[in-house]
Amino acid sequence: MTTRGPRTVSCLLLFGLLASCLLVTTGRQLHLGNCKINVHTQELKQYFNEIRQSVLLDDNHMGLRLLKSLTMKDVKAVESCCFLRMLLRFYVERVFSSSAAGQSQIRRSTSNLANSFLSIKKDLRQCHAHMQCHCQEHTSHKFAAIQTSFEKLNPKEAAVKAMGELDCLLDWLDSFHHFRH
Amino acid sequence: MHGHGNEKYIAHGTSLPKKTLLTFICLLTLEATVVAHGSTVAPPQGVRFNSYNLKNVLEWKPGNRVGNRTRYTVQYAIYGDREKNTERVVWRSKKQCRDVLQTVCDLSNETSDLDDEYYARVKAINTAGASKWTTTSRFIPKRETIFGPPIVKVTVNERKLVIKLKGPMRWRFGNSTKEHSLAKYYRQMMYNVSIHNIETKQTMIFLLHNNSMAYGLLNYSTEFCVSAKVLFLSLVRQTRASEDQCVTTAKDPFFDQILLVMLGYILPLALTVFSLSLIGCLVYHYVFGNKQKKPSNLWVNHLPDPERQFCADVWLTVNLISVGVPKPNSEENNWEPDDPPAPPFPPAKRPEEEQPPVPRISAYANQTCAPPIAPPLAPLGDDGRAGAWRHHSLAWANVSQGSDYGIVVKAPSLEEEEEEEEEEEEEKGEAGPEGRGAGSSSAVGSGAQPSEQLTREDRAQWATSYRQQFQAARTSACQEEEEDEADTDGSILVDWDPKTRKLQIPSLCMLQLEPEEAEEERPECDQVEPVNILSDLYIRQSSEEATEPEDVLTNMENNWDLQINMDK
Repeated sequence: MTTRGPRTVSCLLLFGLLASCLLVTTGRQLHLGNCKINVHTQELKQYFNEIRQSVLLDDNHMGLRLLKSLTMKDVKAVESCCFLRMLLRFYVERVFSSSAAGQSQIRRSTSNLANSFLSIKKDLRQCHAHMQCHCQEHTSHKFAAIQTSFEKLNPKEAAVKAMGELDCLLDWLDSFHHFRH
Repeated sequence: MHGHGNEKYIAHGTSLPKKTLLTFICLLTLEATVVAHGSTVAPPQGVRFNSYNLKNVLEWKPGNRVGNRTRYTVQYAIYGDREKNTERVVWRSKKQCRDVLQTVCDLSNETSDLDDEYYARVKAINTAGASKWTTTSRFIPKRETIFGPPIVKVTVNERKLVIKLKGPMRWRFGNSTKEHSLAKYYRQMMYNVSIHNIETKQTMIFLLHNNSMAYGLLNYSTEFCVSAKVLFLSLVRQTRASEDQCVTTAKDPFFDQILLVMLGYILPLALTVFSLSLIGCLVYHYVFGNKQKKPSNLWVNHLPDPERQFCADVWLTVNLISVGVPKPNSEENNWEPDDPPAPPFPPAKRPEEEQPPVPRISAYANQTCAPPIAPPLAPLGDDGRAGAWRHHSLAWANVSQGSDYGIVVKAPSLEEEEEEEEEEEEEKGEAGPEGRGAGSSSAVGSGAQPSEQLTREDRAQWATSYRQQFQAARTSACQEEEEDEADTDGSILVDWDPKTRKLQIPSLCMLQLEPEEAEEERPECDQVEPVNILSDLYIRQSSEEATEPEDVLTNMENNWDLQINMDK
């Protein structure tokens, strides 16, 4: 055992590492209908965790929620690509641009998130070019409702709220990962 | 409200005396201060959700300077749940947490939807009034809950560990009867199982997606401690590890057998053998070990040397040879030649006792090996030992009458007298008186002087006694010489000096060394001596003793090669 022990341990650890790496690589890929994109959700969540606490405290409008989990779950898988594309565009064009966070840490995390969203959007555009990302009217309405709610508030408060609800968006993205169970 | 009542009471009480009026004014001011402070009741502090396995409990601390009687009221709201046409969130009361004294409130049922996010607020109420609401930050149960330890079951199957995992289970809220594992709500949930080997102090960590695993083959009789906790690769979650469950693998059956053999067979056998050998040793020592030792004071330090004693015997033998008395005796037959030699002769021993410092060998050499020319001078000119000799021989002459020990030195005088008588009768030789004078002057002769006065019968008796001794001594001498000088063949010569009347036979040591010289000397003696006394002596001896079977003289002849002149 004394000689076999360390070898076994190292083998098992190596195996575990490989397995986890495999999981991470498979976890990166999102299946949005027919569109397959690579998204580092773990990385996105890390960026969000850095700003989460402050953003949540800044949001004083408890009664208004832009992204509702139930609404997101109702989006069909085929239309998820389209829906995500609209959301990303919304965040990049309306939220991140108007969030004027004072702290440098939050600003950095916000810009990181914005860059990641842009890269995902580029991938989605390719899917869209191949006619794999098209939305039905129902889904377009959902997105319109979000925009309406957003516009009810002043841009700064709305941006904070939208930032605080990124968690919901990322969880929704995670649900498209493929896990072997 | 109370304040108003008091004021009215004061207003109507004008008819009262002044004393009571002042008292009421004081009370009024007191009440007023109380009312003013009532609006500023300290709100609860640190209001937050504490979620463990999705059991969401609201906790808070009392505000500053709030009495023990303070009661609290709790409300909760769902994020995004707003009233119609307004943007205000809907606050809902928790019935069980209204006007309660405790500082915790279980909101698990109200916050059970994992897709929702919640708020909660608490206010303090006491007699002074109610405080402001203290609201929590947005609470996301699914994200903030702490994962408790999973349920671990470890079983040992020979050399394998079988680990089964379950949970952690969600807190059973409301009236739900069924327990659900949190894995149901968290698809990415995994288990982190660590198996610690107590012996080698190594820990192996496994990441599990499923609920069970087997680990082996392991060593026999080794203790392993298993602990597990929930793990998320992509989420940051607080998790608690389970307590160590320690199990020991099965005992090695071979080891048991070896132990049985060792304890059951080999050890008792070894013990038995050891005890038996110990007993044997003890018995042996008891039986043979107690040898009686001679006390130290009984040890003899000066033992006589047998080799040196021999020389003394030889010397005595020489003297005895000259005592040949031709009288056959019946006692001779009884005498056994094989008998051990007679006890040490007194003359041999006495000098030793009296003068131990003088070396014995030198003393004997003087006596035995003295040259034949010097005899008359030697005894006289010798040291005091010779004198002592004389006295002892004299004394022994008296003593020997009653015993078998004879005085060896007496023989010459007896013989000489006989011979002289014969000579006088036959030749009337001139040597007689001279020899007598010389004999008297000699050491041996002087010792024999008292015997001259003895009668003839006495002499005859003496002769017999001497003869016995002579034989005894001669046999012993013969035996010893046969042993010691078997290879030396030389004739032993007897030298007879007529002047001194002394018969000299060279000692053995001299014979061995110079047999030729002794032979040469003999003719001289014959030439010098006109009368051959010894030949007569021998003739007589031989004539009488030859008749005896196995005569000692014949033995002597054979052994010593004695040349006996039979001419006359």
